[in-house]
Amino acid sequence: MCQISSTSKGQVQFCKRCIYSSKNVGVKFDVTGVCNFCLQVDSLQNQFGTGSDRGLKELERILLKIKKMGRNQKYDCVIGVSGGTDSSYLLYLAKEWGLRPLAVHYDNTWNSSIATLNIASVLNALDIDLFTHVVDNKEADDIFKAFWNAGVAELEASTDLGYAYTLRKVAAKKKIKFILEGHSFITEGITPLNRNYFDGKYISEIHNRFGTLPIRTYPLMTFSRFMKSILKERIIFIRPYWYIEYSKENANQILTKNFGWKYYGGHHLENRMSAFLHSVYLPGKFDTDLRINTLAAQVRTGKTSREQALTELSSRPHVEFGLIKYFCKRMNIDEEEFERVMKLAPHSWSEFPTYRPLFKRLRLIFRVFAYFNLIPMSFYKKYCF
Amino acid sequence: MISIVDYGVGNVGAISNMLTFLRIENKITSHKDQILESNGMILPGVGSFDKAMSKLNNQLALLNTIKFFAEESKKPVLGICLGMQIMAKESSEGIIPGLGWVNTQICKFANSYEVKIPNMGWRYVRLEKKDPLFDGLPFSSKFYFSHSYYMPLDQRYSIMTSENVEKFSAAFKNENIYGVQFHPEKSHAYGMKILSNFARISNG
Amino acid sequence: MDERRIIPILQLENGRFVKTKKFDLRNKTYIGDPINTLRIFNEFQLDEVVILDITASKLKKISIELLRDIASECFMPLTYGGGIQNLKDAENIISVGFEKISFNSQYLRNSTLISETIRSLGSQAVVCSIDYGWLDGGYRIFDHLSRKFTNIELENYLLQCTDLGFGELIITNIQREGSWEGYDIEGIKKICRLTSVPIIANGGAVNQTDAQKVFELSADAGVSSSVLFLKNESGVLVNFPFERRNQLELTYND
Repeated sequence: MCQISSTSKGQVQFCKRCIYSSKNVGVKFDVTGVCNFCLQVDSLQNQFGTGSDRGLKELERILLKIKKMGRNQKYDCVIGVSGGTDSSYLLYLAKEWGLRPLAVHYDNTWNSSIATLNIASVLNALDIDLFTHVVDNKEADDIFKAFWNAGVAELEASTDLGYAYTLRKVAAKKKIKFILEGHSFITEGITPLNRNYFDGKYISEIHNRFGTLPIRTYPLMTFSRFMKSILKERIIFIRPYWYIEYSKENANQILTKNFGWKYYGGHHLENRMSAFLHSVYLPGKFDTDLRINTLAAQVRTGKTSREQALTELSSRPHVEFGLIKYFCKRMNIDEEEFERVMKLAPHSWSEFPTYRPLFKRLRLIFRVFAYFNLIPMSFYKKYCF
Repeated sequence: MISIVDYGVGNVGAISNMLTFLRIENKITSHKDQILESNGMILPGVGSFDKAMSKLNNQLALLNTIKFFAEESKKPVLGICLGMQIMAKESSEGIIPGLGWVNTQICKFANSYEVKIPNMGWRYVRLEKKDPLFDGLPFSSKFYFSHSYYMPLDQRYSIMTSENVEKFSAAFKNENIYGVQFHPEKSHAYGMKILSNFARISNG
Repeated sequence: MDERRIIPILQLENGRFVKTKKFDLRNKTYIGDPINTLRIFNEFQLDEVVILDITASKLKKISIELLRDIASECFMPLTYGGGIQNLKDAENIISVGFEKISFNSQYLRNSTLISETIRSLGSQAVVCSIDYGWLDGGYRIFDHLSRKFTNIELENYLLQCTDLGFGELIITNIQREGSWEGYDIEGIKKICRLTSVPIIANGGAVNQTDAQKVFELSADAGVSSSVLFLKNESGVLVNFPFERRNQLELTYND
């Protein structure tokens, strides 16, 4: 179920520390047999002092700054919520730390009931206000369908970018300087760019070519809007889990115990489009199983053994009953058309115009932005090389 | 395979949806062969007694088929709401006789200040007899009811009761024939238990 | 022994769910995709849902395919209202999977259609949706299309509805609609005394305490804002009504 490199031959080499192998696209090994993704995680861990006193001190310093800069405002930070573990737990921590967050939700109109229940129970219990941007359902589906018809992997590109831009827009409007994100490179690993590229130009191009409805409510972050947000509004991105010890299992327990929160069965499965992408589309059309990233991360940290991880990876991802039917209903296609498109040759984001060449050219500038946390460091590492 | 009789009355789609969700093979049909080949037959119904019976009476082949299924082949049958009521001999709602598969009469709820007519909403039920149709149902089960007429209590046939001030038959059984006054296809997990039990009784 | 219902009442506009205040389309919030929203409500195992199509009401055109798609997501009863012109319309809606159809007050001008529908589908399948408010010392009927109060008195109106044979009444206090100020208990009390037809009270519901007051009057609780927003002045979040969430006794996996 892993990506097959076109140059794979003979012996498969596995990373000494995780489960990436020479079969996976973009994986390289150093002389000791450790893969570049492990090294990337090491480098980030070193840079941020994850789980160490240094990391904790740095986070404390940042928290003080957040409180100071936001003291005359109603909210001192923005936290994106999806109903998932990472963001739900982050809300809990934010309150523990004495912050006054505004929860921001981007609704792509494919939420599952667990997502909405979890958001409601956590926000109610913690007495945190909510801002939601709901994209017009027909527009959202038009963009999804455009990506579907284009035959590329990134069905969720519009959600990912829409989320990121909504956070920025709300922070700017409410004059909030900080956005806290629940990303953890320790528990999630770093997703290789190959099957997960998104930027405003890519979305716009796919939509122009394969979409039908005008974009009116979808928050499209073009390069100029991106720059404006960075240079003019200067919003700072903080990822607390990059500094401190974070365990998903522990987080789930606390959330369930304190808030009646419910686990939704897997990374990103709280949204149906995401569930479709992970459990049907990517495995079926691209022979890609993104569970490898989380499993590799778990092996890397010793939470799971290599054998266990490989066994799990060898089984098909669980597909919610009726998910394909639901997808067809929303996309307004019949099952025959669904099968036809699934069987068509897959395409890559690299076949379409994107901002990537521009990001690469501006690498040094983005290095500076990342240093000041005006963009996440992982963005710099993924997009500028 | 369970057949759902399509005689032009009743919410066949909803019943089929729930069966499909339960992974139970089912078919909405009015064809003789498909009905006779099925292991269990569901008779739905929404509307008025006379309308339902006259629709059936105007489709003689279909009427004979379902009669054969119930009376001769003796395979399991489940009537839902009006589909349950037309199994009786007659109803005070109409003048046309019913199928007569159960020797009772359908009556109207007496009009009074306390009694709301129709009996509309979720109601708790009481299981009067142990039956495979009720396997796995918790003690305090509830179902969705929506009716102005009802089948009275009858020791011989009532297996589940409910109340609209007055007690009435929420479900009956006569040999191979079951009838439920409520809508299992609109009663979430409780209804799913009834339909999956019926499928198990039918498919063996 | 019976269970009172908590029933979301949702507004469709151009194939999208919206929430207005006092049915004023100039003051509306976009809620989301109808199919997904009903799927969520179905997963919550809600009692019942009412869907009123504002566009269909204006244009007299029913989006039957959308209704079919919505109905196929639901294992609880559904009511539809908006733009029903004849018996065939009503029958089509029932056949795609809705249990009840609703006529708004203005349709009482066409009582023949109402009687015909009740005769054909049964009174339990035909609902009357009444919008009312307090004006000039009395309760009056409100016409949601012209957005004006009529001079029809609520009490007379109710008697007419009961006589016609409606199986259920949805009564919305237009002044409380979208206000988060609680139900119009006095009005509901009065209405429940006048008729023995089942009543769904609507307009202003905030929490379980509100619903309890309505239950004590033997009416069912219609809800809108509180299942669509986290709280007053908050972002959209389709969520579980009040504190009923803990009362799920049986789940699909049992």
